[in-house]
Amino acid sequence: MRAGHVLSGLAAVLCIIAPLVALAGMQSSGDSAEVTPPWFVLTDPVLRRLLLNSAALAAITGAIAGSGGLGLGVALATVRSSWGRTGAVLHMLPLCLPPYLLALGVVHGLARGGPFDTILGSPLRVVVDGLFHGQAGFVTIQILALTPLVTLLVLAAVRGMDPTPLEAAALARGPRAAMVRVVARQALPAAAAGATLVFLLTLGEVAVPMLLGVQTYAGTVFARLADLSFLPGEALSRSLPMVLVALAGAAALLRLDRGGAVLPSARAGHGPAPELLGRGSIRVAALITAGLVGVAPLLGLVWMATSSSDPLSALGPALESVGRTLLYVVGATVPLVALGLLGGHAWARDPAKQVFSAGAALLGLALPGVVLGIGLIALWNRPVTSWIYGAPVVVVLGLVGRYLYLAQRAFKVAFDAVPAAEEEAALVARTSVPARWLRVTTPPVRRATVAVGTAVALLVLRDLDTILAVYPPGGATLAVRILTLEANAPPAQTATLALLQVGLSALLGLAFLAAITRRRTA
Amino acid sequence: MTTSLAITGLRVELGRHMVLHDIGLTIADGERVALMGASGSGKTTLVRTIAGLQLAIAGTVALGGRKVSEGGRSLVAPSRRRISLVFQDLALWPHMTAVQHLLFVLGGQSLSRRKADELALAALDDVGLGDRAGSRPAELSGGERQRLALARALAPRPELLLLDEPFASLDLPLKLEMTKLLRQRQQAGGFSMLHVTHDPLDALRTAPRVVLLEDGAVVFDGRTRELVNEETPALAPIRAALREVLEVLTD
Repeated sequence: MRAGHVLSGLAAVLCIIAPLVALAGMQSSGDSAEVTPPWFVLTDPVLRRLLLNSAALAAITGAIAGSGGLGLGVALATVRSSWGRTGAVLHMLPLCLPPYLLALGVVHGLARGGPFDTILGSPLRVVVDGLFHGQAGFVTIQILALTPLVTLLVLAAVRGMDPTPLEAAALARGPRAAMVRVVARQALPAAAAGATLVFLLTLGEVAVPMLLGVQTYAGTVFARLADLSFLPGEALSRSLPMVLVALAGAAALLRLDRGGAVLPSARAGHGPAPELLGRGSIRVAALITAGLVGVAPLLGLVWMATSSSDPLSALGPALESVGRTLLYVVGATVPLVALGLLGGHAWARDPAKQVFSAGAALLGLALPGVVLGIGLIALWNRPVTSWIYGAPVVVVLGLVGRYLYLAQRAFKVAFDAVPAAEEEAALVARTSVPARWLRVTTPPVRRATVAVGTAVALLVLRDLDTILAVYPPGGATLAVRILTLEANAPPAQTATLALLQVGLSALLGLAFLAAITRRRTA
Repeated sequence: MTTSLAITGLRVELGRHMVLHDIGLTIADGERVALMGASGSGKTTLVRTIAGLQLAIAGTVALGGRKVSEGGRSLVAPSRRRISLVFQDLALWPHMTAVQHLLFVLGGQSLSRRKADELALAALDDVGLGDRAGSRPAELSGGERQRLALARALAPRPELLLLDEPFASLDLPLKLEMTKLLRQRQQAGGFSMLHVTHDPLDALRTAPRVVLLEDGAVVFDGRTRELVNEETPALAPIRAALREVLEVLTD
């Protein structure tokens, strides 16, 4: 067994399995006075209705984001227009941000006196109010924030396709039939996987419903951790149905990804040639529209920030949280990249032995951040481990648990493209393990390492739900600070901090783009 | 005799590399031609250019007397050229069953569903796949996949069939079976055929005329047996291979 199998397996146990076992253990032993039986959720009609309603909202979001992302992903993979690509970059921007920031921009941009409100006038105001507030607003924000995830997965799937079946279809039936019946059809598993992820992320979303005044099941779980109604035992009970949903979601994702349909190996193909599929003006227009819609909430934030005479006054006190955010970003990105590299390599070279580690890591991704956080609380909130629970390390454990799968999977794709024979040649030449890793194994994935590093850093930067559940006293990140300030500070200050977060995310996003688009020099 | 394919002054660049230089080639209606040449000589590029999958920078391509590309412009879309191409890697659609492959290619012909079903099943029967209509490519053997690729190419009744070394990876018995099937279908359908191959046996069995490409230019165009007697030094390797095959076949 390779060191990568062991280390990534240990990380999965420490950051995902152990918290879940601790959570289940507290349930069964009744450690906490206010622990209620898990079936309480199913017998209580109010909770049952809330769970079903939240699942329905998440399913609607998943379905719309899945179909939208399928179209946009195929469009992006099959056009060669700089306008289309610019639209796609703008469309991706919301994915780099906590959805809460988009909600903030929309709510304040559309609030009475906001820019859109002024432009639209009263007849349309009623329609817009309905679309962007309450449950509809929650679904709209989540679609805006998460459709790019589906777009990215579909893009990867289409780029990984063998181009000749598409050429055969274009030759037989023309571009449109080829695109719908061959390209989009073969990208369906990727879109379905994206839709499943969107469903799981929406079901676990806490901050957006809080802002929009929508009651969701994840919200009631999180509410039991809030200061005023602190009942961690009840939070444990209520989180169990979400663990079951996450297990089902992880199983669905594994099934969809059989044979690498979701994230294909880079060796599989190089995608269709855009010129075969016509000029694609409709596809370019769709990408530009998606891009404009994606950045519209940010205009609301700009409006909000500039409505005060001194918007920069918020920056001074926030610098501390920015520093802490960067600390968490570095603190979580380094182990995630290291574990991803080792685990992804082991996964690519010996997939059978990575089943446990990859499965557990996928569960970590499928779990709502707040539930993983509650598991970490159940595991580490004890007198002997208070040095972990009360320190930033607990946040790092949560973030590693949440994003380990993505880091490993991305490296697996990168290593799949490198023939194993290159390493075997070094092995039979009796080189040492460090020399082999430094001189043979890692150089071909250097670019992938930069890309995974920036992508993971982005995910950590945008994370709100995991950190919100476990951050130590006085350890709020920038995203958490924006959330807590929203109710107590002038809107301009909140918006200024939100734009600061947008700026940091945009910088990392550009670094990621540069890493994945830079021409190979060797 | 009318012309199925007429190419004049064709030049194709890939990247900054000139792959085809001033190619001229005509194929008469119903004629069978083998296109031979070493790896990298431009055979696949020529076939892809005829199909419209690759744009030339100069020259004209006419199919059935109608110009389909001129200069650097495509005048007729690939799907409207009334040609079929059997790809080297077959390019089957992994998510479709055998009969769905045929229904898909027949879908552009404004047929009733019933008629399309009949034609699709008949096309599968013609290549001996009548009992595998519901199978996907992954469930078919190597030979069955070859037959499906051929059936898919023949179902829309093309005027010109292009074959880009589809039999290159087959073992000898299967290759002989496929070339026999191809000859039978060509005689029944009467379409013209341009068969790219680097195997002299394939060339001899499928076409009486050979066009030889070298470094992107036509260096021989004539009867297969003339090539055997051709004394140009550049043709020595292919001539030797052809002679050897002819001797084996004669024995």
